[in-house]
Amino acid sequence: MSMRRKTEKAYFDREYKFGTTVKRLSVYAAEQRGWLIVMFLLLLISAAISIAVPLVVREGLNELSKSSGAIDYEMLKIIGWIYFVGSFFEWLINYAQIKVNWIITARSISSLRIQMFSRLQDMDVGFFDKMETGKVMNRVMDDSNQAGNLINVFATFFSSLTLIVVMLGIMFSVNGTMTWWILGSIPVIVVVVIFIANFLRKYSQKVRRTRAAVNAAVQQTITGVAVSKGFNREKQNSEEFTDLNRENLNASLKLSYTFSIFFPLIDFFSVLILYLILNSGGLQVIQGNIRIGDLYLFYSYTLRLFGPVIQLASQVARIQAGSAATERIFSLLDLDSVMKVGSDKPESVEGHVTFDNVHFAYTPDVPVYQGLSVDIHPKQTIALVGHTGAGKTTMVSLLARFYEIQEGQILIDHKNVQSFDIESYRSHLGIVPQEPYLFAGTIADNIRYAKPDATDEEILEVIRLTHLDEFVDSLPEGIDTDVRERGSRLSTGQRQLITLARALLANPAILILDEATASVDAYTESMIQKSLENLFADRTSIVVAHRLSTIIHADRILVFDQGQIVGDGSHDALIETNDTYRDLYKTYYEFQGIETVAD
Amino acid sequence: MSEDTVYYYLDRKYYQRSHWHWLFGHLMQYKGKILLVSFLTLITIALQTYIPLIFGQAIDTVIPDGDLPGLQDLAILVIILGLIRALIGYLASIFNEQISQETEMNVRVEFFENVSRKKMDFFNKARVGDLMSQATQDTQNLTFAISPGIRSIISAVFGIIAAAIAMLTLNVTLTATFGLIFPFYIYFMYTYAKRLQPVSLDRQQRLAKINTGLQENLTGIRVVRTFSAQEREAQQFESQVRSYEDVLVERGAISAYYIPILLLSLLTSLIFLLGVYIIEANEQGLSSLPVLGLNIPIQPLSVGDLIAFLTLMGILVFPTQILRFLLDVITLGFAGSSRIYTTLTTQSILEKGADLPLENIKGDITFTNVTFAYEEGARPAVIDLSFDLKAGETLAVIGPTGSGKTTIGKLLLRLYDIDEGSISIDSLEVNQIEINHLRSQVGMIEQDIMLFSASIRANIAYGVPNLTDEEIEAAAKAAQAHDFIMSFPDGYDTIIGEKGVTLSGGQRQRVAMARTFVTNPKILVMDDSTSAIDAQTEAKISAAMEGLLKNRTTIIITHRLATLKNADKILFLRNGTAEKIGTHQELIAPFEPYRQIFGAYQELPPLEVDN
Repeated sequence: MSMRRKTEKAYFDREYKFGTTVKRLSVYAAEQRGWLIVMFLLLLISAAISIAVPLVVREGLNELSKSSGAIDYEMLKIIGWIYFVGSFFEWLINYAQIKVNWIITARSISSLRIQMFSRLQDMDVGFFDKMETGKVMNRVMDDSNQAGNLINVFATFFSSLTLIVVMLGIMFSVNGTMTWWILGSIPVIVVVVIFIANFLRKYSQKVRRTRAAVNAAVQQTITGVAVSKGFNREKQNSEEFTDLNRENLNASLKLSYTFSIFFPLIDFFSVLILYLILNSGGLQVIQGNIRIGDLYLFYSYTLRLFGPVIQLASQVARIQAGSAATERIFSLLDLDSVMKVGSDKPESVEGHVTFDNVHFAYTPDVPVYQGLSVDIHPKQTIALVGHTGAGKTTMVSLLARFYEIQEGQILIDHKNVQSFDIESYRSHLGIVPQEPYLFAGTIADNIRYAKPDATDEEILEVIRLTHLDEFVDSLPEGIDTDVRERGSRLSTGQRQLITLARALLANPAILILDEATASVDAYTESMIQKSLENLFADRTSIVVAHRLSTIIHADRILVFDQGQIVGDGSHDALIETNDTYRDLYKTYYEFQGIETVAD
Repeated sequence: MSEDTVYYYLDRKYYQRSHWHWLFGHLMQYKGKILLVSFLTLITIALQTYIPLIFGQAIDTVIPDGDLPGLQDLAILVIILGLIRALIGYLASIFNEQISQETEMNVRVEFFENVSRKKMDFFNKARVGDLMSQATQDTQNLTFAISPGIRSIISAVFGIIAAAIAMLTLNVTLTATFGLIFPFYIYFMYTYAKRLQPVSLDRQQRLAKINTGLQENLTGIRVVRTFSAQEREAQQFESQVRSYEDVLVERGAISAYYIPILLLSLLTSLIFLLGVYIIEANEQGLSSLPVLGLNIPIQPLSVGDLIAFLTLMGILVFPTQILRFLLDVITLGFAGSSRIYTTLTTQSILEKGADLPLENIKGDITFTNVTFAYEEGARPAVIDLSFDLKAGETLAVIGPTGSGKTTIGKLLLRLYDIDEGSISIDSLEVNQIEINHLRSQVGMIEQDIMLFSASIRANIAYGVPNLTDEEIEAAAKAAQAHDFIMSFPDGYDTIIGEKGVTLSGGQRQRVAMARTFVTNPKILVMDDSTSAIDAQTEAKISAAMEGLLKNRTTIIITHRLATLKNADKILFLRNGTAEKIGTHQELIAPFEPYRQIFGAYQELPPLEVDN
């Protein structure tokens, strides 16, 4: 049974026309127009130098090889010195050009990365459920690197073009026939290049996708390493990893083989033109139409002309090949978050929560809610109970605006949540999720995540409330202990307590605990329960729990079954009237092994 | 695959010196192809040097002589040689790509295998994003270095040699001038590479930092949302990206400041000047040239020779430029290889044991005075712990959060080596047992369930890859997972998102149980301290488990009274020490902390059940 990752397109990948790609890229180019203009000017100057040098040398050679009259050695020496000084300038220009080139490239990469990152911050959580982290990372890191290199095209394209035109002009002025010969070969080169470029694009798409799959495999294996070890999976993982790499290798090799045709081919063209120069040019010299210096000029111009032509052609190829990367980037940037948001920034929230005929499904065919309605009054403590998969966590996720509902509305203080600015809305919520996630950093850093300007005293206070103080005190570095990535230095229970402390620090109007203390032992939990009672008092609290000790103190209990609320009331009322609840409670008793009292 | 032997992809000798040597070892696997590429490249260089000579010859003799047939012969020669050069060049680049890309793959596979064998300590400390960056970006830089590397070094070095020889045959005086400047050329190349090196390493490290930040942001996305920290995160990301941008620009500036190319063009102009002086001297019948008061002997020079000489200098422009590019990518490649090499040679493997086979076990477990700390110097997670379990018995472990309950299972599975004492199964010490045998006998269901983004089927069959559909279904039924799996449109082929987020907590736990059921372990460690599954589902699972637990030795971490009552032994842990071991009856009466735990339950209102 293979765990192989698919290397196909992501669900939101689109295709972009060549023209669209160029247009979109030009937006990034416009951000850096200053540097691009500098680059363009530098390129023109260096082009001017590379045009002037053969002209000067031609003069020298013509002078040297002239058959009649005395050679003007003084003039030749001046030419030599001009050449000497010119070389130094050429180097200076070259220096500036490379520097600017790097500035533009580096900035373009940054700009793409930052834009993608902030796009990702706006995406609904459902997006991350569907996309593997490794693959998303590949887009942000790798594809941006490829695409960032394309921005320079906007400077080099025009300078190449200018250079070609000027050089051809000079060549025409020297000898028309030979120039026509050389000119004739350029369309051939262009056609060949474009032909190859089409293949490049196809193959590089495959390369980018297989590369993303390799990336994802690395990410998952590293995060799941304990599981692999426990199940002796290392050997098979490595076989599968090798397979994925082989696929990537084959795609890359195919791309390289196509790419490799380029330079030998261009090389051959240059020889072909050399042949033309020698054959027809030599003849012209023999016939006395042109001089040897002119022949040298043609020779060096053709070599220099080839540079810009190749560059121009390879730019087309690069955009084509790079468009595999730009397509992946643009597809991500163009993907709209499904979240509907407004601009209202509520100053304070009282905590009245209403679900009105809410319909929701994670995947289209499997509805979770088909018309859920409930009204929760401010400052109440509500417990959600029910079987696994009954839809308790979903309610919490919807309230947190992790997903967008399909029908109905969710109201906070009688206002539709869709009218709120999502971030400012969430700042009134405190959510402690099922899975405690900690970032690399100290305990204090992790708690302070909820409120960056919190003082140490405030942090120690929430640590005390969550009964973490004894543990923290036992650490030599106290709250400055590094918990490592994902909090791997702590036990799950400790991580849960820290996430709880973090939520408390935020002091939210609505507090949501989703199995927040499931991994904490019952004794510690009951202690926390006591200290939370005060905290629950002045805010709306929604608690998902299975331990009846947690539920029992709630003002109101909602019993979930298959996406519906089948019971609503206090423990005492429900135990009398609600079968589902009584069932839950009874099994709980039996299961815990607590004696039931029969009458 | 054994975790207690160091993994060497290459011969051991390549791991004893440095990352250069290691990389060399990787390249040596393709020595045949490298020789072939070198040979082909040499031919193309020879041709590349020869073609301008033909041009010089045409200008020098054939054209002035008006030798038309001779001119045409030369022209045809140029085209034939050019064709050969193109074909050979293509072949060379194909082999070249094979060498570099296969090496990249080999390095990545080596990295993957090596890292998979590291002990858990390594993963506790390593950052996922950093390892990812090494496995992807650093290995890719190797290709960028090797691919042009082999051919370019040969082209550059031999191109220079060939051009020098050709020049020498043309004119000794001019060549001598060239030779005088050449050492400077080499010197500047060397300083260039030396300056690039530290910046390249810095660049890779900053790149890895972005990767790490991004990885954490993406995996912790819900937390980021919850605390509306998007803006803060974006700022942090931007500052990391900008710091990378700075190093790119800094490196670019060093790269731009590459003096050999300046030297070369200055040299060309000097040679032109010198050529003019020599020709002038020739004309005046002098055989030496006064330079700074010294009389330098000169060799006569023709105009054609001067042109050919200048063209040959022109040929050097290419190797000089390519060397800049080459040093650039090679320093980057080496920066990557040094990062990878450091990870590869980080000693983080389990101690070597006797590798005794353990095919059929009974399942006796003995812990004798076990002490273990996750990190050196840290407070031990388990201190002087002793207990023993007969085959088929159940040990329930209970204790406050962070008391070391989960650690017991990890040690039994030998994810870590203990510091003191011994752990044995059937009186064999675990560190003497062949690790794969050990792990196939011990099944563990963890608290934090990690599922992979693949189909449910693949996740269940994770430990036993060749399962039939029936076996998978049977396991799912035993874990009470079959029904909810079938409620998905794609059934067992449903792909679960990363970390299984589209499944509820309880559903994930049941898939994880099914995953362990199929491996049929003799010893089962189950971390059941979570209450994520509702009581009713749990009741179902426990019914299934009763069958599963038969003939198995079980260590179960739990707070559930029912399980505790039925356990053969209860281990009460606090701060890593066994405070008490005994049965429920033995503990409940005299042991206050144990009773306290149930205080919470006892406070519940009694349930009145109608008969």
